[in-house]
Amino acid sequence: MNRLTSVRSGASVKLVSIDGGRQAEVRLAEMGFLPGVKIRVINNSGIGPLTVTLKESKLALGHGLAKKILVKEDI
Amino acid sequence: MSETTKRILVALAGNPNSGKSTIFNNLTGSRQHVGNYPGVTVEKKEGRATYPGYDVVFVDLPGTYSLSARSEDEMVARNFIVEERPDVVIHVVDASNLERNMYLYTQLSELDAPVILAMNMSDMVEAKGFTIDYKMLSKSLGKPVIPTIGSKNKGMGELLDAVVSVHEKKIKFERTKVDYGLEIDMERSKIGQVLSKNNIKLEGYPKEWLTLKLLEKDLIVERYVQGFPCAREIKDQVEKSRQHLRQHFGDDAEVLIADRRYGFVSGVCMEAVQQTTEGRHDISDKIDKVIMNRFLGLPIFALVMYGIFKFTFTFSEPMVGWFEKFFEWLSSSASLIIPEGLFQSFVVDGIIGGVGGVLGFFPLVLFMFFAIAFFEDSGYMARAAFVMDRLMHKFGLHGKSFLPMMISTNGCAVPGIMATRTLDSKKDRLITMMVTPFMICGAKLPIFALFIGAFFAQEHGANMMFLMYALSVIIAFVSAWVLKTFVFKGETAHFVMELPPYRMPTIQGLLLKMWERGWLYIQKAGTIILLVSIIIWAGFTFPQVEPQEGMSEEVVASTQMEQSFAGRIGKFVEPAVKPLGMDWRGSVALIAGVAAKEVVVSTLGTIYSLGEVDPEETESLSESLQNDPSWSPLKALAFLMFSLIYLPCFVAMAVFYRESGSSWKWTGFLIFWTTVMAWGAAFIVYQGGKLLGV
Repeated sequence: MNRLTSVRSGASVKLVSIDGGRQAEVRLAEMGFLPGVKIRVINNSGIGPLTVTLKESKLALGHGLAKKILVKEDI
Repeated sequence: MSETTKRILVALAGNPNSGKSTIFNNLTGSRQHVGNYPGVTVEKKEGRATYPGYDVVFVDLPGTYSLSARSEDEMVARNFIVEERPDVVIHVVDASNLERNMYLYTQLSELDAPVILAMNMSDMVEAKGFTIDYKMLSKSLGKPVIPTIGSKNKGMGELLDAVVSVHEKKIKFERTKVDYGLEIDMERSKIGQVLSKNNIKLEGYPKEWLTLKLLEKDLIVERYVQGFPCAREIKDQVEKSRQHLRQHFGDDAEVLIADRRYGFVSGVCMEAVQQTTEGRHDISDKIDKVIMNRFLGLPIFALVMYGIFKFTFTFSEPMVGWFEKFFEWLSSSASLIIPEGLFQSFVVDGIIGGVGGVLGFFPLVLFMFFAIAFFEDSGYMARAAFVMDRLMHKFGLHGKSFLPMMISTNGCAVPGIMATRTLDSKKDRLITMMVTPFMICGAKLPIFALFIGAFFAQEHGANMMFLMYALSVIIAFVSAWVLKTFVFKGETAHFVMELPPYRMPTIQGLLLKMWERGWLYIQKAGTIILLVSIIIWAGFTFPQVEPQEGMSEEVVASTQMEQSFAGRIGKFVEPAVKPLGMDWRGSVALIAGVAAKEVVVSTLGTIYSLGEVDPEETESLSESLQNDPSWSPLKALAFLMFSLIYLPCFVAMAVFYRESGSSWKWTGFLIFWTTVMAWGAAFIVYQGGKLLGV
């Protein structure tokens, strides 16, 4: 299991769980970040926000928030 | 025989970037703002459409992803649907992004709102490699589904037909339910039992919705329930139910509920959506790779902003010159036609000198609005927010704070302050609200244009302006950092934002937007600025001073001003601003400028016009400033620093007061903070400059 911040650009992953406070978890859930969902990392420069696609839309995600997203490789 | 027209109230709901505002404009023909980034519609906007026999009133709700009422704009949207009970709710869906958009639908339908789905941007669906079976979708949701293309004005007639049919109950609604699963439904019914056992009457709230919201710990619903005699009992049951669900699923009820809603949505989509080819994001992705690059992102953003100023200054320069010449001509003709005396002074110095000074910069403002509208509509602004996020984070702001600040730069701090409603946390919101007025809005622009034009070489105009904008950003950032460190402590909330696809702005769209904002500028010049100019003129003209024997005309004019009401106020304040290199004239202009920032320019216009004695030799305001030995480039710079930072105008302060939750404490703090900062910055510039021998 990895944090989303450690996934390199171009890789696809599956969301496992959110490791964070209730507020962050609920906000993310409403944006579609739910267990099992497929996330493609478009751009992750290692620091600062990253961009991902999720459910056909492109999202920008703050670094702090992305760090709370636990993922595994999508097979 | 006359038929009474029936009124239909229609609410437009939808995600940010779903094209909701475009549809609103198409339906109502209303001229209002549409921007290609989240959070433009900050207040409900109203417009009308006519349909034979009906008066259809549309209300454009703020774009939201959810109705959970966790941020102010969600609250506005939900309260409208719950309290106003619109006859029809049009849910505008970005059809090319169906799954994300339909999340909101599940919440709308739970509120028992009569929903029509407008499948907008339906032309983009195929481009993305999908087809949508609208009939199937309509059948499985039990709601009318109308494909539309907002940008091409397609499907609007069908949408209006559907609104009327729904109102006339020609279309039967079915309530589509999200299947929340046995466990959640059981807990809901337990909460429901508490309600019915105590014979609670729910005003307008569907009971099923209420129980769900209680499980989600919705603050507003919790507060509503608080008033019930069995409040305690409800609260206990909710806690017990949440506890039970957490044990059973290992997750909070809110997350479980969101999960079920998305599950429902993906089920519906699976039936109705056919993927034809692999989705393509390539071009957009490639552009983003460069624009949002870790190293290139910020320089590109700076370059874009610089380009905006270069464009604005280069192209507006000749036109601003013509406008100046025109007002000079107008003053001298008026002096010739109207006999000398108070009335002549009223027209020439008060009205033309004041309002003319502000209107002279109209072309500049128009070009600026055009250039910025281009970047808003193209989808670049959301990227800029992304690029700025990292930097802004360090200063206690975040990417979402960028948009209110940009709105303030494009036009006005008032919508800027209101746009902070999209920020979730109160702390982030207050910091952003506090720094948004520092940006150079359309009303401050003439002050900068005037002084830069008067004291700095023409070829440096755009560079100086760019520098001033950069400075306003730096001041906002530093100020946010101070606030974060010493006043509002705690974590900065999280940043998730959708990046809309790039779109080529249409010329009509840009011109419309430019004109809307430009027209506001003219309206303001004709109303508040005219009024304040007249007051300022009177302030300098009365009480009248008797000219003494042997005084030259120039001396009479300056003695008159110094001994007038306004002059005395200026003289009184002068000691406080002397260390900033300002005299009484500058201080009067700044004080008057609190009414509206353009007034700084109009007041100086009146002062210099009153000081002119020879009607044959009128000069423009910028020439007058240039020729006045009491100004210097350094003093001009200090004056600009002060203007940049000091008190927001009255309207902005009033909106700040309202948006801060009617807090005198924060409003007072804003006044104190901006005054201290302005004085300090101008002091450093002027005294520092003197020390360096500038």
